[in-house]
Amino acid sequence: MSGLTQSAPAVKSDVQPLSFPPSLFQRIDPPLYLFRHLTTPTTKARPSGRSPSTARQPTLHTAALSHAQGSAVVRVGDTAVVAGVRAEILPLIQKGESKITITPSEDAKRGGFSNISDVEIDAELIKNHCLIVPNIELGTGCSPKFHAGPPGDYAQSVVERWREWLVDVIGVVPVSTLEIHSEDGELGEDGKKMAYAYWVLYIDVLAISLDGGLLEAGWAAIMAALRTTWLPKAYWDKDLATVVADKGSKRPLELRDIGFCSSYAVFRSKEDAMEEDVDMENQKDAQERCWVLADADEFEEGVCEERVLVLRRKSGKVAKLEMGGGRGGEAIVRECLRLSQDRVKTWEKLVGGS
Amino acid sequence: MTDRRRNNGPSEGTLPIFYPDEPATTLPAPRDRQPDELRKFFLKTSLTPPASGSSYLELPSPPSPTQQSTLKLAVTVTGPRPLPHSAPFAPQARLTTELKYAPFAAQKRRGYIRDGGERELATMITTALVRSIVLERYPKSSIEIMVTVLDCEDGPHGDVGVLSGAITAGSAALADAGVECVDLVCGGVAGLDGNGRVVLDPGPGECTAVVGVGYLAARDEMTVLWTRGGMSVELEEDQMDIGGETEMERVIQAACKAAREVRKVLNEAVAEKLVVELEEKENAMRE
Repeated sequence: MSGLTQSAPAVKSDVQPLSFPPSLFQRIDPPLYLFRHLTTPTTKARPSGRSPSTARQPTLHTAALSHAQGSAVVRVGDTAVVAGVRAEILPLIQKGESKITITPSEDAKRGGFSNISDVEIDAELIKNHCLIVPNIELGTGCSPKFHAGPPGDYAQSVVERWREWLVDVIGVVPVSTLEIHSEDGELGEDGKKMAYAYWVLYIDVLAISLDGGLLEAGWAAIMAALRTTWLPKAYWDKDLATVVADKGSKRPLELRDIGFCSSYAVFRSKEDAMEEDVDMENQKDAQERCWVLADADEFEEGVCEERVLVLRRKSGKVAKLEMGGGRGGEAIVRECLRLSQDRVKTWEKLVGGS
Repeated sequence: MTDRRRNNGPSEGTLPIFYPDEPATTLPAPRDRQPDELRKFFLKTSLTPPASGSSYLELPSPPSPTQQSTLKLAVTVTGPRPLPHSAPFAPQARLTTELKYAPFAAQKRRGYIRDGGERELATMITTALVRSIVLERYPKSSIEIMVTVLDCEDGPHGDVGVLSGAITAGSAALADAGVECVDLVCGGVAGLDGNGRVVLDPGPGECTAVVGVGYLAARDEMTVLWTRGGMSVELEEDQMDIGGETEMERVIQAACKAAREVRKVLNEAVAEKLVVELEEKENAMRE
């Protein structure tokens, strides 16, 4: 107690003004704390000092892991994720038995519809055989919010999105690069080289440190890891009935297309509602103010319910737009799309085009 | 055991890459440093800002393709924080450790569910570190240590390097979290190579027998000791009357010596943060 009275300035009146440090203010009323930062006339910045539209500058380090076929470490501010790609083999013929694989002709695959794309045909096969296996581990002590043990709903939903983007939305890895043929390149019924086995890509993402923006940083790490992934030259040995690989020769994994995602949080507040002494009627008339916060950190993600996520292909086309948790609005979508253009370019420059 | 909350890959399972040309056992690379010379390693604290304390330890990537030594560890400390209400009263802090290998950490892909080996290593890390903490200072609290192995050595004694690295990095992370300690704990490893020579910090496959210690250098105390492989505990005849040491004693002494060397790096890593904080304070004072 004595410490408190000593540090408090000498006030003549009996009433002592209540004052506490900003960190305590942040915990008592997070939305008001954010609001005050955004409306400070001199700065108009977020608590981190960034302007609402400024994203954190990412850094990338690839091929640092010795046992993974491809790997990447992405840091965005205080968020750090590691992605590793491991390739293993799925033989289609096991234990001498011939496994029936349906290899329908191109027309049959399309089921009479001519507008089904290669991505969809590949996605079907990848999903049937589970050729791309993404996972995430958040229980690394990366944030006090997550504990060791089985993944929670959040981790599962993040992985499911990544899987969907990888396989269905963008179709990053074409099946042709995962096929393993026989040594003589035996042809199948459709006149193409017959696949005896497939490469299965296990993509594991570990969050080392988490301060918001997991979807964006983790996805970029996956992209960078796949870009640096190499596979040994391998073929199906009919006598050994197994896949034989050659350590000396490597080939890079072919990628059909890559994409990058950028995420936004929307913060809304009625300016006057934030003041304590405004009655209810005035609140209705008060003008709502709204900020689009690019690349929100953990604190901002906790305050803002409304999120926008833009996934863009390398060509710049929007592959996926997700929005929810709030009232939305055309202006917000437009602002996010505008901001995402630059953000995707930043990622592309860092990771490199395909 | 299928894990329904993760993507498990093909139900038939997959085979690791098979290289027919590769010899079954690769000969260890010859030692390219002095017997009492340690491999250089990198240790830095505070790389996980959301955690109370953290550290990262790395053996630099091998300079030559023949040398396979590699180790990358990330350690985080959560706490001291209050025990959950359901927990019974504890007069002292409770220290728990979890260790997990990343799926891509070693030659063979690992699953996400912790196995016995990982649990055993975690228990040993707890034993090594718990003696250094002033537990009475934190009643009704828990301190959690998480060790994530991103990359490690294969081979028969690979986990020894992981363990000693995790002890050093764990102590650095505890210090980074501001947990009150009586001393810093260092992991040290020594071994006997094929010729019966004692070497410090052996590389993969270099030794037939190894000893690892958790060592409090300032107090000259061992918090944990473990051995792998056979070592003689009988005095050799010519040593008998001059009060010499047995083979095992010599290796344990060497492991402690290695830990003392490690301590120099640990001291610097822990001091780094303090120096930065002091400078910041001084600058603030001047302004």
